[in-house]
Amino acid sequence: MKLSELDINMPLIDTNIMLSRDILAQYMGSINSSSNSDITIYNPIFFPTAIIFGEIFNKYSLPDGTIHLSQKISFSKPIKQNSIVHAFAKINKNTIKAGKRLISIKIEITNNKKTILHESMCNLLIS
Amino acid sequence: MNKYQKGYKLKSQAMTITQDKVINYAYSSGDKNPIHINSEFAKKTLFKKTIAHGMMIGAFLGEMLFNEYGDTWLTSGSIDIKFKSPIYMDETIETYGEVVNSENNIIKLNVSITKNDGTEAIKGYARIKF
Repeated sequence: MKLSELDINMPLIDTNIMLSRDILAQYMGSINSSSNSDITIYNPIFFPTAIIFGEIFNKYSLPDGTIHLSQKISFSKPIKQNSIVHAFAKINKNTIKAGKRLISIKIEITNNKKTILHESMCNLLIS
Repeated sequence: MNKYQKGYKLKSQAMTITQDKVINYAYSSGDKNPIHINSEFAKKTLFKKTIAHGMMIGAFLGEMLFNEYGDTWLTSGSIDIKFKSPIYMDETIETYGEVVNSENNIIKLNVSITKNDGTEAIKGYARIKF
């Protein structure tokens, strides 16, 4: 299924995701980070959203060359490393501007008590 | 000046983006868009060469803020950034952050990432409640 063909408010994912420490270690390596489990028990801010993006991109076909225009992340509680969170993502906007498709995706990350931990919004330009 | 005062400048961090790091990021995040990892594909795009993931570069801002504010940053805040210019392999980038407002136990910071040619690659702001 193509992401660009989905309607507004269409859920993209609604699932539990494991934020594995092994994957985090690989992620940290790619950004040369010193913040690891020796320093904090929490995940870096961008990591959960990055993993959920990966899930979305694997589930829905995005035209090759899609460009990420902007990203907003708000967080009300830290997310522990090696924890399972619930990820819900939906299409927030799907418009065509100057011949290019602009898609906004809203992501909510909650814990098992349904408390919102992170909320994020990204804008993608699809060629 | 303490790190919660207006005018405080965060310690900047410089790093060079390599294809190996970008591939590593692609496989750890799951975002394997070929524009980031396939040079033959990238030649056919407007960028002509592979570019780093925006979220990967944004993560450097997250790390700058973590290195300065620790778990306070991870506990309650937000970051809002725009990706203004692509970052190619072997380019060196530097983070910037400055507290521009501080009141009611909330600081607002301007944050950015600049390439070594002076081009601003990411610009935005962050907010931390302490």
